[in-house]
Amino acid sequence: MNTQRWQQIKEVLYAAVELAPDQRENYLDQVCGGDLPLRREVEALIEANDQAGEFLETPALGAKPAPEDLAGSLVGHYRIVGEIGRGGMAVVYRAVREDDFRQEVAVKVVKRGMDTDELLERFRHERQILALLSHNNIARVLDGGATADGRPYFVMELVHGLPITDYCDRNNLGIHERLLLFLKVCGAVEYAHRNLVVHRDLKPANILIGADGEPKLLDFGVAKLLSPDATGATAGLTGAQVRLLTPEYASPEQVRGERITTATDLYALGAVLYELLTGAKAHRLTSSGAVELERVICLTDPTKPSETGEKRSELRGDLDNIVLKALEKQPERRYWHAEQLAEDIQRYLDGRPVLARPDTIRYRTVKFCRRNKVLTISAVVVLLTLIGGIIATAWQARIAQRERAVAERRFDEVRKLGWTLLFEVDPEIAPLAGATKAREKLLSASIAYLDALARDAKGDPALLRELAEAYEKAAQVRGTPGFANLGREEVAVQNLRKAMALREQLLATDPSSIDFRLELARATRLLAQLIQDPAEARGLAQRALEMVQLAARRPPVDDKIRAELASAHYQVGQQLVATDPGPAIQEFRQALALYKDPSNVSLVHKKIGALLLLQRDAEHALVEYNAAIALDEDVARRDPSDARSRLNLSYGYSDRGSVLVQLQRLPEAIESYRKAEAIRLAQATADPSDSRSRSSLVSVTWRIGMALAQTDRRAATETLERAVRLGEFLNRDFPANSIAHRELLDAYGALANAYRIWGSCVEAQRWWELRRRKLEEWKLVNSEAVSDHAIAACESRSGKSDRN
Amino acid sequence: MAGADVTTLLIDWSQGDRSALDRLMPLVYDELHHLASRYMSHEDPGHTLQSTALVHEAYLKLIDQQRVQWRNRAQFFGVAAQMIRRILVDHARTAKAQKRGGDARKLSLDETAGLPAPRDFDLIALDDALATLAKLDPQQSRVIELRFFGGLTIEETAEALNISPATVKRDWVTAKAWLFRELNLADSAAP
Repeated sequence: MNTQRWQQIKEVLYAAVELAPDQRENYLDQVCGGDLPLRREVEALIEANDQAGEFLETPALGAKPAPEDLAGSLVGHYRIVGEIGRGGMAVVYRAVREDDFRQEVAVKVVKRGMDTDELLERFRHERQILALLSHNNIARVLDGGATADGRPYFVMELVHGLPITDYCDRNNLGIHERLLLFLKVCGAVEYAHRNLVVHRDLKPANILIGADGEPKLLDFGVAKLLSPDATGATAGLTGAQVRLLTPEYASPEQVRGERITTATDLYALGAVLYELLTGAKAHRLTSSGAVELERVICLTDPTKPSETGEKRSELRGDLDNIVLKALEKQPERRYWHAEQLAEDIQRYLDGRPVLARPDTIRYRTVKFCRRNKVLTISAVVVLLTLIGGIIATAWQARIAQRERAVAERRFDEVRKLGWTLLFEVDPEIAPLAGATKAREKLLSASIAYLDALARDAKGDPALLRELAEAYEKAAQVRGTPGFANLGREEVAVQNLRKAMALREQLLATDPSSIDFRLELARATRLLAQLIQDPAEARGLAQRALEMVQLAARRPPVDDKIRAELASAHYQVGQQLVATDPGPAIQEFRQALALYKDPSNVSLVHKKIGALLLLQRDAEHALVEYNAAIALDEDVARRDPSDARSRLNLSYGYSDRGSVLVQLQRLPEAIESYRKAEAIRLAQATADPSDSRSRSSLVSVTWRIGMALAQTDRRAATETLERAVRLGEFLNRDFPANSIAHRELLDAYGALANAYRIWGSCVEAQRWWELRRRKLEEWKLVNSEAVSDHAIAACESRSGKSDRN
Repeated sequence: MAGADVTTLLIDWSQGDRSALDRLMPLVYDELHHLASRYMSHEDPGHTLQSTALVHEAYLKLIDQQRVQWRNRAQFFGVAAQMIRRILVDHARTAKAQKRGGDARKLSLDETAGLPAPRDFDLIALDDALATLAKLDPQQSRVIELRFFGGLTIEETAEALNISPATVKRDWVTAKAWLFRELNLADSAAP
């Protein structure tokens, strides 16, 4: 090799290792072309790079800025006593509280290399949530900050114990005992998930068993703080990030850098259970290279537990199926939540049939792993930067008017680009969980130049129409219910008003145009859907319906007219829901007869069901909901990665739960609610900036609490208090979102009501007072079924709990 | 004592006097060797042995702070890294020779109490590989020397070599991969 050749190899190698593993092949194809020796050399060096790990990272004479320096020093309020252990990115110390030497804690100090400011900011945001995680089997995170020299640290409850695998082996535990222990682990994970905390790095080393035989889970929430992207979505892992994973317990979505949800922990639980039962790891890795990691974790099915360990016969069948279901490559095919996994294990222990069944139609995992190569968030950002440049140039050209032809052409390019963004790029990323922020950026960039175009567009019908459509689109992403939205309703209303004004202008240019009329009707209807004032909303909906009816009077009535007519009926029905349920149902039935799309049909079924429920006709409501859910399950099955259809399905489940409550079929009700909860938890953790899934999580949580209130006061209290907490966090993150306001009010109301039912009047009044203050703060009127009067009239059954 | 001399030599060198470097190096070598030996023989149990600490301490002892600029400091660290490499490799060769029954003088460095965590590669092999790399790309070889033997950060290395931190990072990453393979460490590493 000569110097020149090495320079060439060096450049290609560095560019390649900076890329995500799945992009490297493509890059090498482009760069190396037919130069096979170059390619082979670079590939060998990439492999070496992936394996190099800590090679040369520690200077020849001892450690880098020494962690040992910390012994005896003060970190926050804690005095470091000694080292407990060290991992890839952190050192853990034993420490005592400065003012109380009896209180021992573990202090985890993160190695340098992370952006301390960003991490601290994230910690400030998360600390409330972490501080509230209070569970016997979860080690608490007590504090966090940065050391004097800027290294981030976390203070945690100090746990003495052995990793669960070692503990079981050392005590010669049998399968039955191991499963009982594992059930407790599931319980802790379920608890954390319900509080919106995903672990992300579950492994035996993080599950310690103390001398009392109780498991303690360490590091809950810490992995998220340390991850490069707080939303959990990354554009693919770099070599360094791959190394931070614990590969034996990492899920396919983690290896691929996709969104991380509660399902990720379920997978890790499966991997731990595999190891507990067989003594072997689910996946055996022969190297830590990214390519090998992806091959094994994403593409290779683990050996059945019964064909791995020694206790073959005991594992065959049910336990095989349970473990393999938890280890499904596709998140949606695993258990929905940890409790479900625990229940299946319990069924096995009780000798009842389990849920997990071997796959009849084996999903092609290869397909799963190769799919989703859609536009990533980072690509969108690059795109935006490009567009910024083009728009600036275009406008300069236009304003200068020096070369008219050039200016016109540029103007046209901008139009097309805006078009591509709103109608091609946006739908691509819209269904992906985690996309809300990217869509927001995309749209505010688009709106900025739409406004500029609109000023110039007078008299050009084609352009007017494009603009109107673009404003409507923007309004949908910014606040229309049913879309992942960022709670910016006012902006959405403004955009829709702009759209309507343009549509009216258009219709004025050609009053006979069916299309123009339909489009104006549609914009009017969208506005009716979004506007706060009920009288104005009802007027708009009625106007929209009349416009479509006018258009429909003249045959032929095509599918487009039919669909808009259905939607208009639906919207009028919507506006009648609160005041005239009877007529509302009639409007909905009209819509039902006209709609063809299964998601719309299901939605209307649910609406009718809801109204029937309001009229105390739960029997018939249940029929409507079952019809809706059957359709929604079908839609969700067809594309499991579509976040919207899953959220939609969750609405069916939760509403059916309420119907079943009405019918006093409580266990069925709770089961249906729990299905809704699992979907919303997964989505809320995947994309914390999606106010919709988080609001609906609050809602289903307090509903579960109320369903429990009649049978299990303790569980009900825990659940209702959690609902309040989730609601408070939601409102902290979305202070101006009216849906978020309502959900928190409902959660307070539910808790007050539960205490009222239990006869704890002081407690009831306390929560009711909190609710009243929020009503005042948000200038809302009391619309609850439970009135001030009911709370005031609360009669204390046992004064005991009140005086505590 | 030596303080004034070394400072003068360092300034002379930084102003282009190559011969100043030849006179500077033995002085730095002696001081580093002395410091390293002291650390390892537990004369000063409060300290742990670190390249960075060693270099900084030698610098403080040898250089008159008021006469030099920031760039001189980086240059000094550069020289020191080279010296540490020589000390450690010499030490490794001696230890190897002793194992084979040679009667070479036992260095005080041999008191291994304070030695860094065991490495799974041979320092002598690394030294040879670095010599090969120096023929291919002298700058990369220097980057490894400064980072690994001198304990310098990316920024300090950039300062010492008068190149950008981005270039240091690129040279560091690619040279490490090359060395890793050159030392035949690939495939034997645990996952």
